Amino acid sequence: MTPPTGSALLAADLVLGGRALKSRAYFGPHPTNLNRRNEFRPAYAAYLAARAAGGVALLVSEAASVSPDDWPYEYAPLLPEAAGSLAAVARAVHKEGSLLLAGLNHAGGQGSSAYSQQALSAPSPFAETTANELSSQLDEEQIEAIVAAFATAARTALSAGCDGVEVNAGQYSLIRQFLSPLTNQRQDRWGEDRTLFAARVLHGVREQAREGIVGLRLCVDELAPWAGILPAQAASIFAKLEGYVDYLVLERGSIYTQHATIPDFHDGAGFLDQAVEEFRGTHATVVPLAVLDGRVGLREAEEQLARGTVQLAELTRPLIADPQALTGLAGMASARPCAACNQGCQVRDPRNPVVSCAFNPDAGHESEAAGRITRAVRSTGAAKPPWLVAGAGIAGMEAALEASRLGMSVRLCDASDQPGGELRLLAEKGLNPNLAGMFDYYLRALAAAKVEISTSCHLDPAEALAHAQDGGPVVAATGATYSPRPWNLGRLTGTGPQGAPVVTTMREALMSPPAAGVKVALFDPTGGVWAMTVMDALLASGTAFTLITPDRLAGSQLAPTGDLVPAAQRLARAGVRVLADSQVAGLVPGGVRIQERFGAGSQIVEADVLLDCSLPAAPGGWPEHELLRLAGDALAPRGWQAAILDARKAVSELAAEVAGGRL
Amino acid sequence: MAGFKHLFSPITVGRMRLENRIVFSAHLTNYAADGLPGPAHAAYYEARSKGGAGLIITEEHSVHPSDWPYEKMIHGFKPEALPGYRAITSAVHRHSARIVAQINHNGPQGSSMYSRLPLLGPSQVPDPLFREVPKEATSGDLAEVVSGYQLVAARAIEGGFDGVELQCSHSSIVRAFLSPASNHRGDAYGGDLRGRSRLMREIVTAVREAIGPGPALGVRLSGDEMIDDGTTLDDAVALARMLESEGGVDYINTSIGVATASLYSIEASMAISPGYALFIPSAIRKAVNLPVVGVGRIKDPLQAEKALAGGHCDLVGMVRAQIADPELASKSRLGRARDIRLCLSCNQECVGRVGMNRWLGCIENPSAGKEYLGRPPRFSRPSAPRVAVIGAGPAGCQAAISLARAGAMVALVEAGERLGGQLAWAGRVASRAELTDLVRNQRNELSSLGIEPEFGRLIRAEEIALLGADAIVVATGSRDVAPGWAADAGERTMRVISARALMANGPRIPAGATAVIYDEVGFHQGTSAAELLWEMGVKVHFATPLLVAGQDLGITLDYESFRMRAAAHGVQFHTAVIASGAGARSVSFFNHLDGGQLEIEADLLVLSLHATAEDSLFRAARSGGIPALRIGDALSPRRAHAAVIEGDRAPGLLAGILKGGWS
Repeated sequence: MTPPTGSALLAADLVLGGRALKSRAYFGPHPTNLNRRNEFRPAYAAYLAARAAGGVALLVSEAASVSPDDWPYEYAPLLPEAAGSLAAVARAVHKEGSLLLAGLNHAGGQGSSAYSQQALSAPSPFAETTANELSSQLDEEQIEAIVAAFATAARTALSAGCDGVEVNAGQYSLIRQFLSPLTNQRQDRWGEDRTLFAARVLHGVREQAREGIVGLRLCVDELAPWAGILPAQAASIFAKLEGYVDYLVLERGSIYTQHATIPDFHDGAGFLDQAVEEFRGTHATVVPLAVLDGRVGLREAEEQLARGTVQLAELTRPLIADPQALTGLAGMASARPCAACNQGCQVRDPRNPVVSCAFNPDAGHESEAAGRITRAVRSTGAAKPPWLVAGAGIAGMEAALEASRLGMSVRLCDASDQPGGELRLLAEKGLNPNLAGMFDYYLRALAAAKVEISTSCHLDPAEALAHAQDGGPVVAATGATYSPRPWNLGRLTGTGPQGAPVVTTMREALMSPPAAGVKVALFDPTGGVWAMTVMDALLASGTAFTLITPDRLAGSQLAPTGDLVPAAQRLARAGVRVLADSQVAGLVPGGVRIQERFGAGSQIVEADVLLDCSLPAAPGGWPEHELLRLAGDALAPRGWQAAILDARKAVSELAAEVAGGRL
Repeated sequence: MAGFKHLFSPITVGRMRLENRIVFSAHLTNYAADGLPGPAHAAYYEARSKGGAGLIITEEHSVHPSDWPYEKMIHGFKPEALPGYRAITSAVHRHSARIVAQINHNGPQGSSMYSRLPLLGPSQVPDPLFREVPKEATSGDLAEVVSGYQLVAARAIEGGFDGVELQCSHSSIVRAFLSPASNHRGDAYGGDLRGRSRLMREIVTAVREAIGPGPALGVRLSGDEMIDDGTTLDDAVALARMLESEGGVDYINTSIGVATASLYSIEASMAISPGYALFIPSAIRKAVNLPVVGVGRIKDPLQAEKALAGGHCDLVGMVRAQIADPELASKSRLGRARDIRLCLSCNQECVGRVGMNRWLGCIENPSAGKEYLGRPPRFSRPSAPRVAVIGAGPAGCQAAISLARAGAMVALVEAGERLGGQLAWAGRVASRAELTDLVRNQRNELSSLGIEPEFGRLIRAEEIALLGADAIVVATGSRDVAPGWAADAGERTMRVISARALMANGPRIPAGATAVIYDEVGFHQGTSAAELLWEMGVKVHFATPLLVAGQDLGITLDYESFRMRAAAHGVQFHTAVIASGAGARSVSFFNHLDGGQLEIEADLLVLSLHATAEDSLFRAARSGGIPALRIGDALSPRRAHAAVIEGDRAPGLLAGILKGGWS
């Protein structure tokens, strides 16, 4: 691929460990749950190969444990056992002209004993707040064994065909635990010189990987200024380690801030700019640098490369969102952007979800995606009516694009005066600034696909049925209806007594937020992202509210995106009163009666508005017909990914119906 | 035998003859890999059959791809399940038990995370745990589900099962249809009990048709869902009558609660009375002639015998009791009830692990789920080592037991005057009393093995060599270290004490005094201390840096009942606060979410913090060249299951250290 002039990302002008990189794009190690303890699986090879094919030069495999005592999550690979299967992954990556490094790690006291059923071990005992599991103190013999295991793992990885290794001294790593006074209070040589362990590990790894690339992932700020590593200290540490490595990746976060390493969009892009500046001010790094700083836009990555603040572009999340994103730079197609929502890609979760993307369901499912039909055959004969998609929210837009991809002519209609549905609503709100780019992506893609969009066009079920009966496939994607849900509101019915608060819903609150000064009682039985979006909107508009939740804490389901603690902080700092373990028991004049779930206590929360964050429902009413399919919230209200999956499935089923010659 | 005449009288269920009334009823195990039953299942069920159970009912098998609520569910709808079925049934049938497969569709109580398909439900009511809006099932969807039941039932019989059980309670699409809380349909599948039970009755008819007249067919019904608008006892009795009169069903199994909304009532912890759910089978048995199974924390043969003798049920489900001791039935029958390793109903490693997507285990039976690994190895006679186990807490006792079973010569030495270590005190409050059954079980097992613990003997470092042992096992537990912030500021009237010391010695402050509990651990240590104090009439403030007070009580299903008791005793909770100082008569905190300050006046400060390993003997032995092992809290202070596992692992680890004969 010849890079177009001016694309810093696609420039093939960087050499690492004697190997020329085909671009500046770097795809970092992350849990995927695609592998098993003793095996890197074919689906994982396909996942990486898709990114390599899209132009990434340097890929690092999911960090594998170097020794069996470390088993931080169920499907964390164990390098000594899984190395054989790593060869196939390396071959798949090499086939695309890219390099594969093996991610090596020992999570130390930040692991889990659930799978190994052995005590965690660390430089000094500590317990992370979530697992609350106290680690044991490593003794001299164990430390030496781990040092040796890193070296052995490096040798094994290179024999499996990897081009080198990346050693983790960032989040979830024993090496960082040794480097930091927060977790290393030892009195012996490993405590007197806290870089000793890292140096010994890297020395051993370098010895075994003389011919390969050695990268280091390092914590630049533990966000624990009272005892943790700060940028200047990270620089001093790195000054002692730089001789061993070919490149450096900087990230932040430690035992109290697991959520801060790859935060969602709330933290904004570039959150490490200052820390990296301090780091560079203390130690002028000579090896190429990449930074995990929340930037998810390719344009921002290009700017950083052009400015020279980084030499490698850390593009893990954007390339999960669209493995072909880099080809967009070459003007070949528009890339589906990353929303930095963390709703599909962050899978360090005991349920073991497979890595994916809220907006790109094919991510992590490359093998299945490869089996999707690429072109539908329509029976020949007389002209058939076009495909009709009712509702231009994300499901409808996706259905139109998918049908168009199969070569169908599509008409997309929406009852409102603009397409976009809830995606547009949220894009306009700007709470997640990346959603504007997502909406824009859909508009551009629809225009490129020449989909005819009719706005202010209400299609009722009878018309849809008539169209289907005429042989025209229909996808109904008209979304959900929001109404107060009686089973969550203590069977409240009607409007309550005179002077009782007005009951409103999430969508209403987003479309027309209660004015400042209006007292809001917000009831959230979901603890999820949607309700938190509504709360963020209230916080942004300065609307005071009391949060009532049957859960033990606010935003109880937000841990997977990393927003659980930050959300609690946002609410606390805004002075939001949280009534946990509570139910709404009724409306009274001027307020809402709240009942404790586990006590006899009840109280009145003063409110002008009761905002019910219960999940919406599909309105129903669509007739059954072989040429009519429901998709997205109109089928059952769920999230972005379900809407996209539904849309593609609906189109594929309809294409099969049409091709089946039933018409 | 004479003591349990009801328990050991045979019964015929349909055409299936059972040797006795002890049932190992259905429960999730998470032993499946890639959706299929495997060797762990076969060995696990075989152990209970060999141990004398009358009837085994397996965990559920999914009947349709739209039902995949948790990762390790058995996909009965896959033909590949058949070899696993045959392996399970042939293993079980090597002994006297009969085995029935439970088949199910969880309906709306699930997640699309794994299936990527919408959930199916009677109405669009999201489950309060999974929080996903289901699709309202169409008649086409229901027909598919019913044929899935037929297919899987037929496969189970082909695989050698003696019958099938339809899960129509806990978590099931049938339950959702039966319950007015989730069924709001206006069609023939909704409305009155007859309408709501139509799906169940269709499935019964279809399944009986699929399996023929021979195999047993059971239905499991909930007698009280413990939720607003849920199924009631009257409904359950009416449903049982309906099933009996329409025919096709051979037995009724019973349950209480909903697996998602009110799980704490299904697998009640030790805080709830044994046999708490027997009113349900009792009422149903009065209404029908079909055999009825009763369940609900029946953990010893005497309780089971009484349930039968009292006419509450015809068969008794004893799940956790037989997880803890697979030989419960045979020991009861042979007059060895004293040797039964009684279940604690601690819920820690069975319910708790399974809820976290991990394989089912047991706090006191490390072999649970590991039966497929076979019998543990033994020391060969001439080289059997002499081992001194120092410390008779759960780790030391288990080490002594497992070492003796492996053929070692064991001396068990304890500095104090009793067995059990911290467990002896931890069971001091009513809600945790049965925890001390672990001590009872170990005491009985030690005495059966002829091990006489030596009490009141404190071993000093210089005495290790005098023990004359080939190796020592250090199980000396942990000690509390007061943190710097709690150091005495002088003139202090407030007493400061560790939670452990409080449990051991009692509060020694007058009723009416005020205590602050500061809990960093998040498990029962802090909450039991609170309970001890409120029972003495002390006013309790419960402060914790965690976001939820008693955070990990959710795992053992103790959260709800703890909060109810705490509310009744006026406990005040302060979450997200970090203690910063202890003054003369007050404790100061700051809130780590918003930086707010808090000061609480108190007469007593109780510290529930992570302890420090007491491993000085281990270090002394190592430096003296004596082979040594440290286990339990002496390795790293954690929970009892770790102590037991490490004690059980002592023979293997010592064999490695001593490199002696081991086979």
